[in-house]
Amino acid sequence: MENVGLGVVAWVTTARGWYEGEHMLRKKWAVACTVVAMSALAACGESGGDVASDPTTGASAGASAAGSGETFKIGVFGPEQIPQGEDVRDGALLAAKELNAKGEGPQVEIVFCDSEAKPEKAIACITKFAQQDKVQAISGGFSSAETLAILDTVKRAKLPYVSAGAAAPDVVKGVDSTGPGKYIFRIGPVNSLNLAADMCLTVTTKLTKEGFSKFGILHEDAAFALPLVEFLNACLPNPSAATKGAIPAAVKGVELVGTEKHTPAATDFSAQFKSLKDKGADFVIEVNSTQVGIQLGKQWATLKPGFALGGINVSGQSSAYFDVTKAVGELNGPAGIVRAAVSEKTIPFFDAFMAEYKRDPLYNGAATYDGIYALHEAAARAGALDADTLVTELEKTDRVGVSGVEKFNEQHDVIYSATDPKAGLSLLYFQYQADGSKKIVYPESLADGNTYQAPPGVTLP
Amino acid sequence: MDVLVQGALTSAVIALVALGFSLVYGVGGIVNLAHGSFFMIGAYSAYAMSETGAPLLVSAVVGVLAATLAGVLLERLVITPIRHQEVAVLIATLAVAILVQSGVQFFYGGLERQLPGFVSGAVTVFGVTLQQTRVLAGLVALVTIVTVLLVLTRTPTGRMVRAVAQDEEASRLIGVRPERVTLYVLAIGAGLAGLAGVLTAPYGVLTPTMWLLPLTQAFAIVILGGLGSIPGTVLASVVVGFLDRFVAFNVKDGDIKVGLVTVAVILATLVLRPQGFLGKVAR
Repeated sequence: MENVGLGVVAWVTTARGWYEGEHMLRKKWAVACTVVAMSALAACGESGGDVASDPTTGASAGASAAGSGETFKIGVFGPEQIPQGEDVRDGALLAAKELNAKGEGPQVEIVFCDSEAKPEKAIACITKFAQQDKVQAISGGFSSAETLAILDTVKRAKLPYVSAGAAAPDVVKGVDSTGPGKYIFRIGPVNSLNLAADMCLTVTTKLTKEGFSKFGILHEDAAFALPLVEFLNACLPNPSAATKGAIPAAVKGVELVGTEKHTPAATDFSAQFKSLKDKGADFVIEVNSTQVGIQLGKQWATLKPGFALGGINVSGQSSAYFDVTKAVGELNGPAGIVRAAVSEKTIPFFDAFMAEYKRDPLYNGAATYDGIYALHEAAARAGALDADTLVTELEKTDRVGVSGVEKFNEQHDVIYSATDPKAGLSLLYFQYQADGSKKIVYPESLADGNTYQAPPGVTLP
Repeated sequence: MDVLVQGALTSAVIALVALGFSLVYGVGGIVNLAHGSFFMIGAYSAYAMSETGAPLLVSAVVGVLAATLAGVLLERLVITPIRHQEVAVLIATLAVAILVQSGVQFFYGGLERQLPGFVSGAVTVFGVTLQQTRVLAGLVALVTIVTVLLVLTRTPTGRMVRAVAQDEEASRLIGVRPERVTLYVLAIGAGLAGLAGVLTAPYGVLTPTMWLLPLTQAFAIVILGGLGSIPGTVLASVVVGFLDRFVAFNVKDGDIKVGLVTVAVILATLVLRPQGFLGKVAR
């Protein structure tokens, strides 16, 4: 936006000078400014890209029986240049490798498409899957922006899509078993309103017990974050009312002193830190999903602004995060995953991922891995690969995945349960220790005796 | 105080990039759209060296030298053959910028990278707590800018540069070779941009598109300050730098709005004073 603005300013300025007759000097600048403005527009992703107009129906390509000799072709897309996208790809490939080694049900072939974190590229990926690759199902995706952008194309393609990266509530908006959106499922993460509800519960019931009383919010200006933050703003002061009684009336609200926003490309958070500190925040809830989380964590750890930090920081789940940031005491949850016995599959998945790729997986690596398994299991149960049969079988999903029990509700959204691990996915919070290790501190059932420790520079009552 | 301290640091780094852009235009009449690429080449070269295990100072020097060399190559191989075809220079330098971006994308992918800091930890300046690496960047930028200004105003070399900037033909009559001066200035401008890239790399992020923001900032600053005016460029850098921090610290969600406010102020200034702060009115 800033690039575009500056380019436009430059062009307007020069155009005026040219009009006033300074031809020789200004002509060159007019051309230059026009070129820069066009470059800025292009770099901001405003151009159309190679988006095909309308995908053909991919479902017919998959209308075959799913025996052990069949190949189940699954299209997977994500921004390959960033860790979040790499994990989409690698989670899918790991699942396919394991499934093919077992030899039960159809063989899985993953067709990966790089969406470059651009909605128009993601749409082009779906079109390519349907028209060229003739896949029978789709999974993956990372940002809510690109996932929301592809939904209409998925509906037209009539291909089952198991979303595995986007938390925006609108991903499953209007989805039911019979409508045009029936092909859309989300296996992870839980939608951002549920993430917010879990954060609200944790803040009001756990962090207050640690001694925190004044909270601030620092969030990325992103599609998944906005409804989450809106919900937090309502829930933190009045948790029972905001959750319609899901959080008991006995749980008191907390003081929310301020909310600050930053761009996904921000590199300096000192203004937001100062604003929240000046307002008295002793704990700042962060909400970000891109690489911006690295800078945020690093500056917090370096500047020690006097408040604790915790919340959703997807970059904070990576193996390399602590080496760069040294963010001792940062709390990360509820969208994260940790190598712990969250389910019977968590540790085996972490170990297999580490053995294959030499790094810890992020949440969406696990979700895509589970998405491929869920699709494969549906195909094996159905004995067929046609879209409608797969959708019907996916609706019956009741499996143990990396992050817990995975079931879909009537909107095809993965079910979340804060209290019953068998009823749906339960969420966790880990804290970085001084040696860089990640230890679950909430919920107590997964904490293995670990407790929350105040970060350096923060004194709790 | 936050705005004053941070504004000074931000202005210094912005000016480092804009100064080279302005010098090259002032002396050679060249609008170099590959100028932002020098910023990126400096940062990525230093990163590449640091990845080999080289000391950070060595990596930084290599980054600046790589950017300088890129400036020399650009001048010799691309600009010189088409020097007097202004539109061709624009298109060619833009093509080089895109080529460099593609090269970086090819070798490093789009994954954001970061150079380790030359210093770590925090420091308090006039009551404002700052990352040491940001303070170092601002101070080095400030010292470099002052040095460049002193060279331009107090040395025979500087007089030679200014002579070419004022009147290329007249400078030939007193024995100055404008082509050689243009080469030197482009190399120095590239080095300055490369230095800015190296200095900001530890607290910014390295991506294949990181060249565009410095270019557009430099572009706007040079127009705001007055085309070809070095003092105007420095003044405009200070205005933009302080405005950036003022908005960030004093406007709700300032980080989101800072670009728009900056653009609005630049627009307003230019409507009222089209020649920029210190530019001359063409007659």
